[in-house]
Amino acid sequence: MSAPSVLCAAAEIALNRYLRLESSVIEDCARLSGRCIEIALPSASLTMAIEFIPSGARVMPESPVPADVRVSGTPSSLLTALRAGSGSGIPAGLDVQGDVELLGEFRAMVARVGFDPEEWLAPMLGGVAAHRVADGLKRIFDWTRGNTRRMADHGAEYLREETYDLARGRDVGEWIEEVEDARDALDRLEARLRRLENGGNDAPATGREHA
Amino acid sequence: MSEDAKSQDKPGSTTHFGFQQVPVGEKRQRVAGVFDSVASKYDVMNDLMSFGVHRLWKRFVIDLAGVRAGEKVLDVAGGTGDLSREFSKQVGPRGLVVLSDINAAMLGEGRRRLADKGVVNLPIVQANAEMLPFAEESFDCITIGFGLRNVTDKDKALRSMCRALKPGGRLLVLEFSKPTSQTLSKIYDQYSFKLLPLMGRLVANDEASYRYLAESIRMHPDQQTLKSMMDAAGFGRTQVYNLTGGVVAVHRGFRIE
Repeated sequence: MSAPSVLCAAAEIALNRYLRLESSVIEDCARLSGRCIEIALPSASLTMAIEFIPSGARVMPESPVPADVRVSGTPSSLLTALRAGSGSGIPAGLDVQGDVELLGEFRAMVARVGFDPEEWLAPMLGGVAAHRVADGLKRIFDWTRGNTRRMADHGAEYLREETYDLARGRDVGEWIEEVEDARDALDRLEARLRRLENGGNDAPATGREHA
Repeated sequence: MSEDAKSQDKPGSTTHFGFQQVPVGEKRQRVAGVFDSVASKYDVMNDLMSFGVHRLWKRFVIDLAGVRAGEKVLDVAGGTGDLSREFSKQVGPRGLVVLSDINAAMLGEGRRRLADKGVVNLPIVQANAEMLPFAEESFDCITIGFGLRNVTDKDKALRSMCRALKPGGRLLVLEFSKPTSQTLSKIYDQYSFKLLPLMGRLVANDEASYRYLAESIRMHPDQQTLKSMMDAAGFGRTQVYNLTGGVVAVHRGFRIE
């Protein structure tokens, strides 16, 4: 299903405001003018298309021309792909069909835009106040991000160590090694049985069988 | 070409003025009469009639237009200059915003309001949207907010605006349209034909003009028809954005080479 037009408009307004923070990115949009990326979110049954134009990009519910590249995945995998830039490869869970280079260029453009909240706030609040507000916001953001990560770590530890709902990495590793050992022992046993069945004459001797 | 426009090509043909049929040549004078009458109370009535939501609709148009510094913008039927004022901030000193309207009283009101807000360097042009007096490929963006339904020959106006746009330039039409839900449509009808003329009588002392407003909205092409008209006038990539359940719609089209 195509995304509602108002959702596309909101996405377009946000994307263009972001891209216009960096003038060289707009030049790249002009260079890519007419090329199109189709984005599908199967979990939400939504598709939308981003077409590059000289002044940025327009977002439409359907691609007006055959899309150069089609990207399908979860919202988080799409965000990860955009946040990580083009140098980090395509994240897991993202299905890309078509011109991967165009997607790479778009990711590089998004990554190249540096959003500086201080610069954005300065005209409204003045330089000193903008610095303090931006610094305060950064601290709150860092604190929230750190605590969220710690909470996830502690939750996982509780599920591993206290309730045993999750297996520990070390236990899983040991278990895998034991399975490998059991598989090797089974192979050896099968080889010995074959040798006994054949009277111990025709089976090729290998180091593994005498281990 | 729409049926409306075809009928206007014939001598002695008529067009609609609200629910009435009037000679084509008479509509312009009648519309001018309406706006001469409401100009001084135009913004107060807009706030009252839309409960202030018209500001959000206009904000959406401004954001969707995505005007950049240095661009040239034409605000057709710009009336009291709400859109022009915002665009003039966005284009900066290197850009240009032209406020145009066919009605001198509305332009006078717009000039006064812009001056009150400190915007004095903005060209104001009295012009008919059907025959814009600008060279071909003059503007990066053209907007027409709540004006197209009052234009006698909408097809001609759309072609005229397309001609004045640079290749790749965009036209945004903000206009009342058809609600997408039956329930909302019924409520909207009651509001338009009972409450709106009453408010017009009490606040602006002009019931007839606000009755015309409700009637002209009903006679205006619906979303898909207007989209087809824009496509026929030479626009491409035309998109429709329904706001407030389709009570208002924004159409955006681009002049494709």
